[in-house]
Amino acid sequence: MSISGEELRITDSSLEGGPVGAVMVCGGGVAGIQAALDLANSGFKVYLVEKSATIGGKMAQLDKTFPTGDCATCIISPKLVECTRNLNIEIITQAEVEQFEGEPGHFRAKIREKARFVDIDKCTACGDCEKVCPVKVPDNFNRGLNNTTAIHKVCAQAVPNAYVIEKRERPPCVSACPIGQNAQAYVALIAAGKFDEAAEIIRRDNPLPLICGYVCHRPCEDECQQSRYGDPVSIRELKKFALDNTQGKDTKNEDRPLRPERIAIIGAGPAGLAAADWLAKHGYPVTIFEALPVTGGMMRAGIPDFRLPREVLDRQVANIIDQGIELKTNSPIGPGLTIADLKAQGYKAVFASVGAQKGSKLGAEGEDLPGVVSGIDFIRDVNLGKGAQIGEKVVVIGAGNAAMDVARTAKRLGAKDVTIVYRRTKREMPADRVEVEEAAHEGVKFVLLTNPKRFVPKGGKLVGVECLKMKLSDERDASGRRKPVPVKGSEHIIECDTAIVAIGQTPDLSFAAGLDLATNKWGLVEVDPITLATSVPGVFAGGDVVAGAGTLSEAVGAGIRAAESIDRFINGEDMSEGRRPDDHVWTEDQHHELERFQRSRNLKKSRKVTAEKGDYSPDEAMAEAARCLACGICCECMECVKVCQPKAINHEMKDTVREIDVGAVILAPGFEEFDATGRGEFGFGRYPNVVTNVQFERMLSASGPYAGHLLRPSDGQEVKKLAFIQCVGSRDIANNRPHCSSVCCMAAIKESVVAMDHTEGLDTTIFYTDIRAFGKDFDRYYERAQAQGVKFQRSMISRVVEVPESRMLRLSYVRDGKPVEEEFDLVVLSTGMRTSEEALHTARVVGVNLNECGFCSSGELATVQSSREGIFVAGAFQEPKDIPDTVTQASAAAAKAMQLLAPSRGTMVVEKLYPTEHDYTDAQPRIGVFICHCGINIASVVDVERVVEAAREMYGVVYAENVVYACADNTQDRIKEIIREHNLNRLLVASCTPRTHEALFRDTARECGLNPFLVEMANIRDQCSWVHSENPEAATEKAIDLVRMSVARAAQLSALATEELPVNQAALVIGGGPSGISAALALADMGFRTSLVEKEEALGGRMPKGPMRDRLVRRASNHPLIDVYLSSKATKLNGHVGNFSSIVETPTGKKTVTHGAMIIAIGGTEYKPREYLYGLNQRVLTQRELENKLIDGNLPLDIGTTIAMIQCVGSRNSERPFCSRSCCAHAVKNAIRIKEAQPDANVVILYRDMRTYGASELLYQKARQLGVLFVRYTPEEPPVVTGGDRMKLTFVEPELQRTLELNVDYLALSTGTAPAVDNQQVSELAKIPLNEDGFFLEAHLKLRPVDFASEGIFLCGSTHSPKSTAENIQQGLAAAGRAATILSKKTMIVGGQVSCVDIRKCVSCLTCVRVCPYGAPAVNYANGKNRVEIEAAKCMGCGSCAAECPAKAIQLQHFTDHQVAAAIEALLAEVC
Amino acid sequence: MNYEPKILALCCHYCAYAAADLAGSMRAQYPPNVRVLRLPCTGKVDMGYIMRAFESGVDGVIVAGCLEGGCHFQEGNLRARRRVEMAKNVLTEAGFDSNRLEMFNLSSAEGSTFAEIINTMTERLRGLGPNPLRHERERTPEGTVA
Repeated sequence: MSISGEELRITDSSLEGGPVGAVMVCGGGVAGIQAALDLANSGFKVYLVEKSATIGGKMAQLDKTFPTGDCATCIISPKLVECTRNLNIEIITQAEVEQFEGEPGHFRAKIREKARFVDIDKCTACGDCEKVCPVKVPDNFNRGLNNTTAIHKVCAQAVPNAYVIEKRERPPCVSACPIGQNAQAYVALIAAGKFDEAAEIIRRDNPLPLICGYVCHRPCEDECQQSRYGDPVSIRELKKFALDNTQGKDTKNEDRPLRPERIAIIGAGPAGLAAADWLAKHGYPVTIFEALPVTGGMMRAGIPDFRLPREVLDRQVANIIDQGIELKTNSPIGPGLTIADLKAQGYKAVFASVGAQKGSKLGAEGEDLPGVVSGIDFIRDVNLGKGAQIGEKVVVIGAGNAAMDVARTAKRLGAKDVTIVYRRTKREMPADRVEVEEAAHEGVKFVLLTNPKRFVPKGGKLVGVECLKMKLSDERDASGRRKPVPVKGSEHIIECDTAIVAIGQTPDLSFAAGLDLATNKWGLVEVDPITLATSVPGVFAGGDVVAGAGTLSEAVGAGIRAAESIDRFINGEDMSEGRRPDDHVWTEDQHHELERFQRSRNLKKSRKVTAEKGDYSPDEAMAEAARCLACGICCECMECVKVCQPKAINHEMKDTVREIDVGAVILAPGFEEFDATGRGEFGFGRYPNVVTNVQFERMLSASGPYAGHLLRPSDGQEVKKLAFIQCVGSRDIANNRPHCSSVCCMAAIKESVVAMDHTEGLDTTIFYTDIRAFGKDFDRYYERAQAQGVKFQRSMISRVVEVPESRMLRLSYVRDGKPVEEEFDLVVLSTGMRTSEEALHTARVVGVNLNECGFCSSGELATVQSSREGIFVAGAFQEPKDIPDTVTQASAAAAKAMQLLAPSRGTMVVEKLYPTEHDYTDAQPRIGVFICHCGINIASVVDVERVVEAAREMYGVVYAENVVYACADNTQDRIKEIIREHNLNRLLVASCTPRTHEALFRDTARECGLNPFLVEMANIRDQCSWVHSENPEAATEKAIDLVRMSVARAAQLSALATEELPVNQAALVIGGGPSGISAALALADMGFRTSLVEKEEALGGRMPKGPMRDRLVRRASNHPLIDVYLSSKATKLNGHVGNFSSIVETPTGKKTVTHGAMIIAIGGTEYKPREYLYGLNQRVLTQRELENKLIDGNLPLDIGTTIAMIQCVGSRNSERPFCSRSCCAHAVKNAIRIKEAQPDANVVILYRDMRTYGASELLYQKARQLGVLFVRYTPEEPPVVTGGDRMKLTFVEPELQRTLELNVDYLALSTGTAPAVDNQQVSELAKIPLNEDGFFLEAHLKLRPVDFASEGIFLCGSTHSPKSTAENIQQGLAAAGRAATILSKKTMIVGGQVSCVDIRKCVSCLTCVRVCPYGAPAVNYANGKNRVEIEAAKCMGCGSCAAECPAKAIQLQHFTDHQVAAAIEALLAEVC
Repeated sequence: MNYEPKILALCCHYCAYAAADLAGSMRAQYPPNVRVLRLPCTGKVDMGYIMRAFESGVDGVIVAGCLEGGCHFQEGNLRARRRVEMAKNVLTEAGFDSNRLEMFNLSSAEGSTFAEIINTMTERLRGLGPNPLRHERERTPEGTVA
């Protein structure tokens, strides 16, 4: 019995103790995706662990692919979607492996998944959040060519299709603020012109915001990272601007819980007011006891009114007090009214914030003289209007803000001469820089490095201050500043009649009368640094009474902190839990890390915006705010949370850590491009018109930052001249990147060709060393590019120079022996591949070795095997490679994992079971229509109600309603309920695109017994509301039309049956070379019986002699599941995927072999040269013959023996216009063998381009180091060889244009690979195509490199294209991995959206047979009528046959002519 | 001059339809005259569909498939192009302006190209005026097309 909608775990308990049937695939690029799909489709559970927020990797960033010119997005997107739909692939994004242990078959990995802050299941990717996000950061997907927002989708086609918030840790400005004001947030909001929102953020955390806007000491600006490049952002000014330009909202919180516990606060200064505000907002009744007749504490008594207008102060204090706080002025707490008394009156907690009211003493002789006053007393008297006596000549001692205030106040009161005496230099002054400047501006004098010794009296009155000169010693004091020491004998007197000592304050502790309150040696109250609790329970203290003379913001911060402690204290909670002391100083590491992040942004010097008239204008404020570097990226302004209707955003989300058990691991983390700033001479990062190849791909992409227009980043002008510089960070020993990156040559050629399509008359030059077009069809593409006018210049560019005015880029090089200078609009650096930091980390954690180029070490022939058993590797992490090689290697790695875990196949996978389908064949349509609002995405444009009304009137509709989110879980339940309740037999959802959501609604339908083909969708979001937002009326009409078309189609839909066919779980492999043997062994190890057919009398093919060959042949011959047929040939093939039947002609007669899948591995043949005296002179050998002689020691090598090699013999010519790929590396290997055996032998290699791609570049370098000579020749002037035993080789050196002659003892020819002679026969046998070179043509050059378009048939080895032995073996494994996706299933499902023939109409004209690329239609001679039948198992459902059939005998199910016509006619139904 | 053309776009699932979706993600704005009908491949576009559309009064038909060489079913888009050319000839012979029908090739990454195509075709069809058959139908409310 089936269970509705429940996932069923299939576990075979007899296999307990076997390996774990799950695989961890690290990396969600094209390699990881391929491996994951192969494994999941073969019965293994896959954890796909990806470091970024989307899968798709580098391929998703590409515009087009070579050599086919396919759009990269088009071909990879379906694979990404397939991954997300596969029940047995669990995609874990933003994840890394933290711990790893175990052994093959039984590994355990600990995975950390970083918080995404967006719930993937709830996010509908509507993009509302992005519109309100004020933070602009460089878009990494477009490599910084444009900006994105902190909340963003990585790219339009991201999978999972959900947003992500990028966060770093708290930015330094926020960390530095004692109040914890979110400076980055309000600055970002101001930059976005959202002043109200900015002010709201400021007011939310700060009870005295405007006062801070005037007088805060700005620790945030001290930490501002912009100051590394210029001026810090004027955060305080911006805060003031935001508050001045907005109306404060009523802060009263009517919903607050009212608390009975009364709280007493001593002192109405900033700390006390802040605490009172917090507590009042949390419902506590608060009483403030203030000793003075006025509120404000030091804000009123200590700050002159010219710095803080009294009106501002009064307003801010009133805001707080008006919340119902009881204020008692003239009420000192002390012996008269003690804290004990307060407690007795019922106050549950006390916060002492009495400040520091006594001026600190200098301790110098004469300090008690009249005329010597303390700064604090002086300023308080002035501020409270008590009047203050001031003389004509005033000396102020101290250099803090208070000293500046005192000096300026003295000046304003009429003192003629005011001098500040300070014992250090200006640099060490604690006062705010601006305050110092303003004091100087008002005429205050500064006497520095001077310290008062005593006050000099005359006649009982002060007449001067005797001072000592000071100097700074190298010793540092506690504050880290250099310690001043007196200069002996430097005593001198500064005349004055008033001296004001402003060196600090100490608290008056009389409030603590009767309490046993702990204090420290400076007379300050001791508190817990986190909770601010004093030694007396229930009594808290903060502000200057704890800190000494602190700052305003510190006091406010302390007040808030204490209030929170009081709340916890009263609630009986732990007061410290989850709180940190004020650790707002960033560590070196944090700074370093941030600096690295900022450096990547390529920042320019930036000066602050100065207000023209005192305060900022809105434009000025926005410009100034825009300078913020957004150090935290997301600023947590919560604007996104406000607009997110599905409530998908959660800023509190935490990282999650989980452990998974897996049997094997596939590492496919891909690559990072080389950091082009490492080649400073090319000016990347300095010259805007120098870009990397990845940036260039994004520029070309229609969905990229320039919408596919080829523009110069500096000025947006069209690019007319374009240059590519190859090998940037490849073949570069100086930068420790000795390898070749394999793909850049072809990528540059492709980018040139594509760019020329974009801009007519574009002039393109590629500067290169060798063009490495070694892959299938690459050389042809290279030649086509040359024919189209791409210029190829063999030249190493040493530097790029920018012409300042035009920003053109000047390159110097040598052309035809002459130096040339040329200017280009844009220079593209073809950056090479390297391993990313994250991949290095993963490699370390899982314990695999890396090679000298930083890639994963692998076996010489076993390229997917890492240094640790059970861990396989695929893609560029093993060695730089292109997409087809990556996909091949991924399937090969999957095959190895399947071999290892074969006993546990199917033990960890789940399968969904559905209820039996109802039969509605003859029922009238009963259509249910659900119109989605998509929050406001559809509903804000389309009048959804009207669409529902219209739908209700349509034929067949029995139910219609609108839903807020059609895809939400609860809506799914509702849809199911309605289907059952109204007995619906068709479901129509009008919402977003069926490309992403059809599978979901089909699933819902199936869960209530509805055939999935009875579901229809109308796309009224992506193709309606989003693109017609300016025209709601027309959009509504269009939505109605679309729904009408869908309803008409839905009424015509039929349930489609699918059929389950048994699969013959056996394979046939044709060809017993390295690729065929590897494929057969892999399949047999997986448990599938395999027939291996070889036409020669022994296995091994062209594999070089050696132990590896022997081992493979022996294993294949002896494997119990492999039937080897030698001297045999497959001559007939019938059937289809899952059920083939072949006739094999063996020496003992014909045999019938049945199989479910088939692999073609018939290899290639070696070209037998007719040129260069081969066959005529015994000393002319092929490279393979030379190798055999060297292995056997049959080549006499003496001092001076000269061996020449000629490359490209029989390759890259008109007859065989392709590269044979492996010959360059082969020649280099043989040359090294010779040099190692006889260093004094001479080896000369004549080549056209050395194509030692990937790691074989290192062999090329080694050969040169050993003294092998490399000389280029051109095909126009090939070398000529004459003579007998001592041959003469004549050739032309193309750079020097000189003819050279060389006497040689042996000549080795690097002969190419030609297609096997049997290709034609096998092509006809299996009805599979060959390309124009005679090699087999795979289903897709990029993403299906070992598949044929015909299902169930695969290919591998040199029959695909020439390749090395290691690559042949790898491709053999890949073919096995792909075949396993079929063979692993006992049955397969066929039918559904396939074509069917009405044999009454068919005239057997064979049009469909010719049209179908999959060989699905065939004449059935057995049905007695000789009519065409279409094999459902082969049909891919494109419908080409149906459209072409002249007799209209074919219908594509689900897209029948009736169904399509119904929709078309419904388009205009309203005019009928 | 209230005439606004109604346009049918027959789009292949893999490229053109995906490009239309991308135009949405990009919030590209284009005239609301087009109604997209999704087909697995433009290779499925039957001459009959095009004719049926014009008969029923649609003012213009767009056939949009993958880039040439980029068809997910090998050559479906090339076959479609041949059929569209054929349909154009038939339309011309029937006295119809064959400019009411056009085939386009675009990749799934070309959201803005899709918007551009709709702009161009809408403009063109505004210029061409209403489908004469539609005109007839509007005059005879009972009229049906055989």
